Amino acid sequence: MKKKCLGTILCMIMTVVMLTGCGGNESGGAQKSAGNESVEGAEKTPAQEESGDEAGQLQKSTSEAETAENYTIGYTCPTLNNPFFVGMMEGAQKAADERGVTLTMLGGDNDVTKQVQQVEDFISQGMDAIVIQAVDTTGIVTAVTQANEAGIPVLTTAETPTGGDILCAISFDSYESGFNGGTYIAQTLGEAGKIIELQGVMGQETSREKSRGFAEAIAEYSEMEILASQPADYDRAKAMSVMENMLQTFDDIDAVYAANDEMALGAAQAIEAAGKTGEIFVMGNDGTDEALEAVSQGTLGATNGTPGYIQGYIAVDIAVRHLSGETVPEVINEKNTVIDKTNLEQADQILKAVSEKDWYWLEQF
Amino acid sequence: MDRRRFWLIARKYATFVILCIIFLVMFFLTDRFFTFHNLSNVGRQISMNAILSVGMTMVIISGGIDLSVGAIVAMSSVVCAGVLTNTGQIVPAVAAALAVGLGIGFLNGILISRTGIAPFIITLSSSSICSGAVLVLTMASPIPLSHDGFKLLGQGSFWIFPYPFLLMIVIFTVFAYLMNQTKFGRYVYAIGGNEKASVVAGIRVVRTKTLVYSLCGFLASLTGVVYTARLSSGVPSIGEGYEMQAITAAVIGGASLSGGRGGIWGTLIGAVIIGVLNNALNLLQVNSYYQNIVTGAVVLVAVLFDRFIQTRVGSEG
Repeated sequence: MKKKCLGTILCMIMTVVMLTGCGGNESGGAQKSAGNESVEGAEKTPAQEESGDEAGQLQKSTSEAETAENYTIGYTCPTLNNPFFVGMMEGAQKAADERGVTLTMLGGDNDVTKQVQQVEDFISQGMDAIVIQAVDTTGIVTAVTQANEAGIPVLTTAETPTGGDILCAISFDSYESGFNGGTYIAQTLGEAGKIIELQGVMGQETSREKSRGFAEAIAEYSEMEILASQPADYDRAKAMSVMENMLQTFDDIDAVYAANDEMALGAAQAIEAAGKTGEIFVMGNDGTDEALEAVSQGTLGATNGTPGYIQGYIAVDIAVRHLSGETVPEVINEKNTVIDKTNLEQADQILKAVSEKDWYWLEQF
Repeated sequence: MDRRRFWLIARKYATFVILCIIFLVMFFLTDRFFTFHNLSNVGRQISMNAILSVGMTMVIISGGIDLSVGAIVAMSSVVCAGVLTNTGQIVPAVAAALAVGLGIGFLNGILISRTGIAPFIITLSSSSICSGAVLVLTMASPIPLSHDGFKLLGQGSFWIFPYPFLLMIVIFTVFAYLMNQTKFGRYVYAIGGNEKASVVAGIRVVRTKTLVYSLCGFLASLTGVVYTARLSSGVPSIGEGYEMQAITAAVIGGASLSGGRGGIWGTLIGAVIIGVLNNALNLLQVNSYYQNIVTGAVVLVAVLFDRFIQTRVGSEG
């Protein structure tokens, strides 16, 4: 009887080992996708770097020992269950695959303390470069400083942390995004009409800047009026209920401007449910795949293309260029391009920079 | 008799064995885990959730639940940062933050013990009120700090031990003593085991429960202060979902949500398992999506294991 019990315990223990082991295999899978030779390379480098780490000269000792295939890059972003960041992950992974580097991408569950932990773990792993898109630009500074002390270059996408040394800050001009949106809507409506604005997350810099740009664009047209500006947290479901309320409140709405595509799609759904598709012009921002599809179907009027895909792609591209010894600029400005029915066919080329001739950021070097 | 003793011992060390297995697996899978730098990181990372879990464990043992701790973390963080920015003094800032946590905990406790409304409802409401108040106070923007001494509390180390880790050890020692060696501790277990019987036995249930929730609020605000020091800013967006992590740590550590069972040291192991697992999965470069699955599975195995042993002890005892 006792033996049987022991057997059961052993089974339990083995289950745990298998579960944890699964995690290990998963990482192997991730490394495999990063290039044919990188699996072995990535496994060897930690050992080489160990000594460098202790000597506090991580950067110097490794960059000489490594070839391009062995670079490891850690990327933390606010969350991985939003299409924008999923696109960003795909773009970053594409760039990593093309350059034969190993990329680890983590989502921070919209919690800055979790992101700090992830960066600390990247440092422990001896990553060659760290890319951060912070939930909170102030709270993340402590992590940036730690990476600086460890001699690991830090790149950022979107909002720039308020402190620490950043090798290269890659971002869209959010003000320009909002301004583009406002101008496009005004011109589409014939410079006269009533608009609802769906804002992003209250207190976040990009949301604030987009909203400011939008308001200033609209202010240039005397016949245009913003009926209401409401935050919907970049969330589709929230945008839908906000829009439902708006449709109840105002009889006469000509257009909706949403600070991202998720909200635009939510608003479009509310409009559809109210039977007003086609009457209200909906404009989004980002250029996610689903939004492009909606533009082709006509449920969305247009979207200001600032996709995550290219953001992730540029970040990894710049990181690898730096690691290979190239001098990279401190700031990279990403392009805003409005995508509507007229240029939908070129959307891939504009938004994903599929070939080298579309790599517009190299002009900023 | 012999068999029962075996299971009793097994129950006591089950979670510890699981922790050891995780350590062992990490030892074989990566040489990045057992480095001085990483272990000190892990020590720092787990200490906040661990301190939070101590209060939660006491509440759970008393047969209740506190869903407001995450909001109290955010509230104390912005209060601490706000006062520090205005006065430039650490002591009043920390005192104000702790007072806020203690106050909210006290209100929770008095409402729960006096009205008899389910703790779930009361603390859910206070959680919502707190997170709303945090946004009103800060207009949702973080409060950056540039106080070096305060920063050190969260980011500095004494020899090889990070300060938050040392704080965690002190808190655990004090509260383990409180729960295991004092009358108060025995009352808490008694109330969680059978509240009506405790009333009949003459235990001051209202007073004890109020104290339990007050202490839980206090520890949540202490966690908030440590986070503030660690991030060197008061961040209104932190704290969301922290109550669930604290509950998870307590449950892995053997606490029963129906009350009367659990332990402070068990919770420490629970918190360490969660922290080490998070760190391990990052070091092994596991995709974020899979991390949730693995974490959930390990928690499930831990509680199933505990339940399995529990039935053995029960049926054969």
